[in-house]
Amino acid sequence: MKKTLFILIMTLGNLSAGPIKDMATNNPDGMMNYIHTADYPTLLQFVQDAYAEHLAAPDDAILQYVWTLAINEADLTKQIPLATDFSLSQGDLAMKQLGARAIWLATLQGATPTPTQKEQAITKLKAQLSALTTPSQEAFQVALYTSNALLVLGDDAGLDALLTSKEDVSNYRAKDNWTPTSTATVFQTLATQYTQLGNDPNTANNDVEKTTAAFYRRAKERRDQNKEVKALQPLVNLDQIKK
Amino acid sequence: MVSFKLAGTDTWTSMNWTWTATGPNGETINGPTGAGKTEWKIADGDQDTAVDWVKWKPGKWKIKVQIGTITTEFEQEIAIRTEQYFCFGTIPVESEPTAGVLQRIIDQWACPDILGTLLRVPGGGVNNPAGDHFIPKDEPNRVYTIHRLLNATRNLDPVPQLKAEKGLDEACGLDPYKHYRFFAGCQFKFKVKDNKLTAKPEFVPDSKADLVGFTPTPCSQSNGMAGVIGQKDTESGKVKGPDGTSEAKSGDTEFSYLSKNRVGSFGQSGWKVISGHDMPWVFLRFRFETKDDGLIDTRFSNGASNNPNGPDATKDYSLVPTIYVYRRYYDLPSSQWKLQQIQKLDEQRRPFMSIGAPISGADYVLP
Repeated sequence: MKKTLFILIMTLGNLSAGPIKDMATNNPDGMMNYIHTADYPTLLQFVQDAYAEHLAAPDDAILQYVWTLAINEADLTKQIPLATDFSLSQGDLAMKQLGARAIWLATLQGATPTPTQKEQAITKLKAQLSALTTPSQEAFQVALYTSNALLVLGDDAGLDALLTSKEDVSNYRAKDNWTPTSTATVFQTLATQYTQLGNDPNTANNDVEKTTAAFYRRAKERRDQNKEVKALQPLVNLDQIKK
Repeated sequence: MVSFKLAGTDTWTSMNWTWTATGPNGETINGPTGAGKTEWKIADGDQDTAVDWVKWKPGKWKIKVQIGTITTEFEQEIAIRTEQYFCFGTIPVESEPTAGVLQRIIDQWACPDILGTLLRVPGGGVNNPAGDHFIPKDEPNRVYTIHRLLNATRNLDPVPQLKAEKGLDEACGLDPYKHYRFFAGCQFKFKVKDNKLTAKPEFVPDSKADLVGFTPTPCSQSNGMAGVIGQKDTESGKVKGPDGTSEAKSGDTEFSYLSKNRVGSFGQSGWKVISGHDMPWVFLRFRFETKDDGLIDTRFSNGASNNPNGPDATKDYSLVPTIYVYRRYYDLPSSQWKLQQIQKLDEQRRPFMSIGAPISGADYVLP
């Protein structure tokens, strides 16, 4: 038993010491086990190393696969901190989108970040939203996912940003029959309806329904505070960030 | 719905109004007449509000308004607006033919072992006869593993997730990591004379999409946290003339809008190693004619194209993936956006596996 443990430790030691490409090529099964059993700091370091190797050799097919594989194989409790500490910390829009999306999706799936993890995620998401100034399709997608992530984390900045999309707001107002000054009860009812739809076994994993429920929960909070359901101090304007 | 009115005349309800319009060939259309008719609202009132627009001959019209004894005229250019269409390509699950396939291959390419197996593919490990993940160089085993590549990265059924109220730039609510390999949409406005373009067609604002999706990490669709983004061709998202290659221009009688993508480099690499063929592109070409109906003219009935590089003269879509084409329209009576499925083009995987250019010096080339 001791011998087996020693061999395992030696294997992990060798894995973490060598380049990721070598790990993936020479011992793929060991690498998969490593990803599945690593604690959070170790996994974060692995993802950072794998991504750094990918950037150094962007055309390498294996390296393109490994870091996404590692993110995907992380369990739900690690998804929000991993997105915050890794994806949202990268400079390119694709990674920012990936991070915001991971936070949004993990929250919808029931992840329960610690108060510190949640605060760190919200702070980075807000900074990311404020930094989007140049219109493009990519920037719009980042803004959309970031707003959704903030929305489901319970931050008003997500609602405020989503309310800048005139077409979406117009469509939802027409579909669900509300105005910026509808009563809190109206929004509570809509939140309940969309929550039920999102949790319906026939529409399970319906992320849009669950997100719309969060939209109306935040809107209800606005009306409880006697504020209108319209963009007040948005960190980004979705209509303007489109290209 | 279209309406004409004169600014600042809303309160002129006691006056008698007479509206007429004269077309480019002298034809006349009579509008409302009577006291307080301050607006000419054009809506046919039937249920199909998707086509509830002005159906006048394109060109310059003169709108004449008589208010009491005063007559005023203004010009109105009537152009054509196509319907709004979108399409998306999705990989469904297909049955995997197992006749002649080694049990070892079936085990190694099953979830979740396929995650580690795939790491051996780009380096050519699966082509090494001495390796423990060698794929026999025969059609059954190679076809099976390609099926597994696709099935393990399948998309979730996108149709139940479509939201008419979500715009094209939000892929009508579809998720690029879960639901589609590509999503494209368009609506154009254009001016014509004698059924020919007088200028390049323009996109209607907020009615353009040219999105490439991700290849999900195998066996992970239920969480879908990450994936590898697909590759978009430089010609994708462009508006072309009737030959499909040059830009649409004045004088053309039809134009098109192409979406063309393929899997990212990891998928391309694996495809080449296993099949011995280059990775084909996947595509759909929206076609419109300049006759004044604004309906899509893509040649669906001609079948899928065997060309790995894009549409040919008569065939507008690729063998893979399964492609859905929809119309999105605003329904006035209910004040809601609605969707209508136009086509579902089922993928044809087996021929797709062999249409790419053979890789020079490949260990094995799938027939």
